[in-house]
Amino acid sequence: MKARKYLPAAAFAAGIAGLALAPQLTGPSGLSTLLYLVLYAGLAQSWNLASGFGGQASLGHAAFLGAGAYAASIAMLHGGFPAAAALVVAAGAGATLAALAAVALLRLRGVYFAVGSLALAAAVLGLATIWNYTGASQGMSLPLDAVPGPDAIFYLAAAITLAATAVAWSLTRTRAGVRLMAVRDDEDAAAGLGVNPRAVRILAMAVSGGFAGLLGAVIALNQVIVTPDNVFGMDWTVAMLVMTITGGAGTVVGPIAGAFVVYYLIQQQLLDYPTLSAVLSGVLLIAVVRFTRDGIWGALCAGARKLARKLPEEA
Amino acid sequence: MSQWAATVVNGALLGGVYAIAGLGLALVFGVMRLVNLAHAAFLAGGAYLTLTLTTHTGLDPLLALVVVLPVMFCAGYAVQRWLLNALLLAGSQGALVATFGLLILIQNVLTLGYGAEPQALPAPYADAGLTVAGIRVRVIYLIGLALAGACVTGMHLALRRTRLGIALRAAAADPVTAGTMGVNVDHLYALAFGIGTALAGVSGTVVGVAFSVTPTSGLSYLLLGFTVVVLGGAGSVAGTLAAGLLVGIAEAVAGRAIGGQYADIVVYLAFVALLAFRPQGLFGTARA
Repeated sequence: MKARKYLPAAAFAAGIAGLALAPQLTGPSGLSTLLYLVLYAGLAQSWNLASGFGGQASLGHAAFLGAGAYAASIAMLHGGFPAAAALVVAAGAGATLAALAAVALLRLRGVYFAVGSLALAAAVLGLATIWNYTGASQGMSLPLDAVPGPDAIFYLAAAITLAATAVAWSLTRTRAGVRLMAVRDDEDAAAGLGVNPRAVRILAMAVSGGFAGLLGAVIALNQVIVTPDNVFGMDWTVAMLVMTITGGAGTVVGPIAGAFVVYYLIQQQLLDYPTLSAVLSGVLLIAVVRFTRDGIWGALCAGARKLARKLPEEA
Repeated sequence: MSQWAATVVNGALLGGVYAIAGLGLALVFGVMRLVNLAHAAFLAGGAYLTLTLTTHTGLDPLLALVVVLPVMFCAGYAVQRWLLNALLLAGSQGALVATFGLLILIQNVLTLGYGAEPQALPAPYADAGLTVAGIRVRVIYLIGLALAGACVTGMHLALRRTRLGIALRAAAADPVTAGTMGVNVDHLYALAFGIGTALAGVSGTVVGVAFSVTPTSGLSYLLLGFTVVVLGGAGSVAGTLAAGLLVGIAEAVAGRAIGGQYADIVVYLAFVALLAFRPQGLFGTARA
């Protein structure tokens, strides 16, 4: 029992060590794969904060990611900001847009929120496509001398993803987390116990949007060329939702497991067949929702608990 | 002046297509409280099914619907009966995610089968126009509006006048009580979803003839359809038609006033504002 208490801290330390050494252990192409794995894990975790722990399925997270990417690009290109300051701007942009979306849409429960956030993302993508200041559909290209090298970009992505994971873990241990999950599980009962559902949800969305914005800025730094389609595209939202639900929404490890399964085990192995890999992720998503309660990670944990109960009897 | 009149008339006619897209969504949402994201893929799927039939048999696209609609209905029935019913027991979130999975799955299967390039459904009246009172309108828009009127009237009568419709409304209002009264709720839910899927096939075919179709082109109609559903008040059949016309007019007028590339954005933002300020719709009454 005592060992279990230290398990999360040990896993976290091992994660930090592994990520710190990664650029030395992989070649440049391996690092690029690992970067995307870490980015997807972080994005899925950001979605998990609002939609897994908060229970409001958002179909608009690409808007927050894109807002971060655009804010950072504008700050660097037009404001002459260094990359570090641009990241702060990106987090602010993602969090602000997400909080605004929450204020507008959170009066609505559940399913309406999903459609509203989808419409919002479509509108924001449309606006980015016609905004001349940011190059309309051509987008922007970042000043190359201000863009950090691949190792630095990888460490940035890793640090943000670890921070998002730490926030997710803290939700399982703190009052704030209990409030958020109480609102998710029964909004009326939570309100009756003195929780302000609106405030809790807006905060969750802002934190979630802030992380999405930060990772959007990292994506912008990595791609150098930032267009509406490659940062505001619906594909990002699809990835976040599919990875989180597949791995296990509302669990700390689920989004990371989901990113590994969907990005590494499916997309990377079927690089030449992107459509086929999208078909497989659709099938996987449906199967996971139909047959598991907390995704692949939840099923693994349940299996491990079952095994642990059986073992002492046999010993 | 007459140009503006033409804009309004053509917008209203195109609104008929949005009304059909919205009607299927409204039925599924009204009966099961389920937001069916896969409607977008069903719309494209229906268009491609019609395309396959017309290219292989030379059948007129609208006549091909005689074959397409039963196929779509059966597919929708099966999806609800063997996938979504079980998920709805645990709340709407799982079912919503499952329809999202279906959307991804079907879109990409269509891309594998037909490619991602836009394709139009061939029909002799695809580009034909009529001039009525000095206003030129496309024949296919008129056909779309006529189909919308027929679908709305048919559904209104079916829901109000038939035993099946009454059972469906009972299952929508209170599935548990309806179940104890001998209503087969699982079957009725599947029927409603099947009809919704078939209606997606109708709108997909009309869109395919009027414009063109790609595996992902259903998405903008999904949003327009939802705007129609919310505007019309969920569960109100007549409101759906009125809302469809209104959305069509709003989009056409916005496009004419400030440029076509802004039209979609205006509609989406108006939809978000509508959800934020009047989620019960313009014609609906307040409901929790």
